[in-house]
This record gives sequence, C-alpha cells and structure tokens, in this order.
Amino acid sequence: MSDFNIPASKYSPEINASALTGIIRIEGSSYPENAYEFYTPVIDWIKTHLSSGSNSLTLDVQVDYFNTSSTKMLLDLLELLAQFHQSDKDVAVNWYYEEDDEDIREVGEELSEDIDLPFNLIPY
Amino acid sequence: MPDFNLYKYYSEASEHGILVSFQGPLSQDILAELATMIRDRLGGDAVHRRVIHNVFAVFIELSQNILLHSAEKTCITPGSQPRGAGIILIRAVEEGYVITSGNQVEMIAGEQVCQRCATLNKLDSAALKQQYRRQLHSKSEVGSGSVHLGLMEIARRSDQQLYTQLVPLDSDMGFLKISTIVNRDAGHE
Repeated sequence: MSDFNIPASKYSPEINASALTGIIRIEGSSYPENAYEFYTPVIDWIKTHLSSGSNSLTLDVQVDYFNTSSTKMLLDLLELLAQFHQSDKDVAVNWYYEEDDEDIREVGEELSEDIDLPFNLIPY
Repeated sequence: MPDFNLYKYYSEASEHGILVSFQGPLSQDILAELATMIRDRLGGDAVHRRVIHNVFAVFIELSQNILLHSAEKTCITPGSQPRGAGIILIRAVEEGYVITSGNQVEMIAGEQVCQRCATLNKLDSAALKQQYRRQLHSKSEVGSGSVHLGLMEIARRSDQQLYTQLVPLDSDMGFLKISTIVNRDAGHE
C-alpha cells in the first residue's frame, strides 16, 4: 500500500495520505471543475487502505471553501467511512475551522449530523 | 467599424457599481483569479467575513454553471476542450452585492431552471436547508443533481430570492439570466 499525494491548486486542495499512519489530510480550497473525478482516487485509496489489513484511519479536513459538488463528494467519502466504522474499524474525522469562520463550522456540523462517525469540530 | 464609445461603457459600468465583469468562455483558471480578486477586494473594504464568503460562493456556483452548462461552447486556445461561454457580473449596490450570470441555454432547460428558482423562492430558510440536505443525500447521477444543488446553495447564501429571465433567441435556444443579491448586513444575522 503506497502513500497518496496531490499538490494544491488554486481551486483544489492538497491531499496527503499516509499508509503508515493511516492519516489522510485535505487542506485548501475545494472547487474543482469535476469534483467526482478529483475525489474518486481519494475514495479508492481509503477503500484499499481499510480493506487491506489496516484498522484505523483519521481524516483531517482543513478547507476554507467547498463548492456544492465537492460537498457532495465529501459526503460520499464520509458515508464510506461510516460503513467502515460500523464494521468496527477505528475511524475518526477532525474538522478544522478558523475560529470566526461560521460557514465552515456549519458545513461540518451539518455533515456530522447526518453521519454516524466520531466527528470532532476543532477551532484554530 | 461600428462606433464604440469606450468611455460611455466605462462610466456606465462605474455608475452601476460593477466590481467584476467577465464575458466569454470561462476556465477554472480565470474563475480562480476572479474569485481571488473578489476575496481580496471585499476583504480590503472591511466587508463582514460571512458576506465575503456568500458572494464568493454564489459567484463560484454561477460561474461553474456557465463553464459546465452553457449551450455556447468556445475553445479558449485552438484544439483545447471547449468551455461554456457567458457573462458574469458582480455589482456593488446600496443593500449589498448583486451577482448575475447570463448564458445561452436550450429553451427547455432554461424553463426548468426558472421553474426551480421560483419554487426555491417560496421556501423559508428552514425548508431550504431541509431540501438542500435531501438533495445532498440523494443518489442522483453525478452531474444531473448538481445544477439543482447549486441553485439551492445560491438561494441559501443570498437573500433567497433568485431572479431569472429567459429571453428566446429562436425556437430552441434562449439566453438565461440568473441574478441574486447578498445583503451587506447578512453578517449580523
């Protein structure tokens, strides 16, 4: 199982996933033209990671903007994590938001309400 | 060459408070540059953070709508992937910021968008939030549901009134305008 890295662009976040630590980090702004195409490899990496013997995964999200198609892909990703959580994998989400950024806090709150998953909202 | 009065164009744009105006085929790069400019410019004007976010989000959704769904496609460079063309404006007015997009559509698609906007305009913010979440969770094919979700997002982030106008160009095609306002005091909700 190899690591997974995508550098940031002006409209898509940096993504770093470590097979060793099981930490996957999404950081930046997310409004790619095709969110499905952008996030599918990330979802595939998570599936492979948790199906190939690893029992834990932590998703760190520190994003200042999601467009609607990115939000939809993120929800798909969280639903996948929730499935693994139900099958006793050690999965958690850390959702970072700037202290006075109500917008991103609310997106995190809304997503967490709909997903059965350890979900930490962390101001910074 | 027909006479074009640049000064008249410029002064009218200033009079109408135009902050951003782009016409032509949109690319992600152009969009990102314009979006950054909006953030910087509004940030410099000491506009409330939430208002900046809302203007930014409405701008992105409307611009990507043009880029992906405009019926008028143009190649930015010869041989490149054709991009949706249209016009996108942000105007500063007394109440806040008016964000407007215009692009060619098939009349049937345009009529559907107008109808959806009229439906969204009738919802209060709680109902809108509920519909947004339902749409977000729906297993619609990628792409097909995204226009609907985008319109809901625009409604949520604006004063909730989406103004649409569909001008027929011929029997099949029309020019669709979508406009909304983000209030300057939205940050104090």
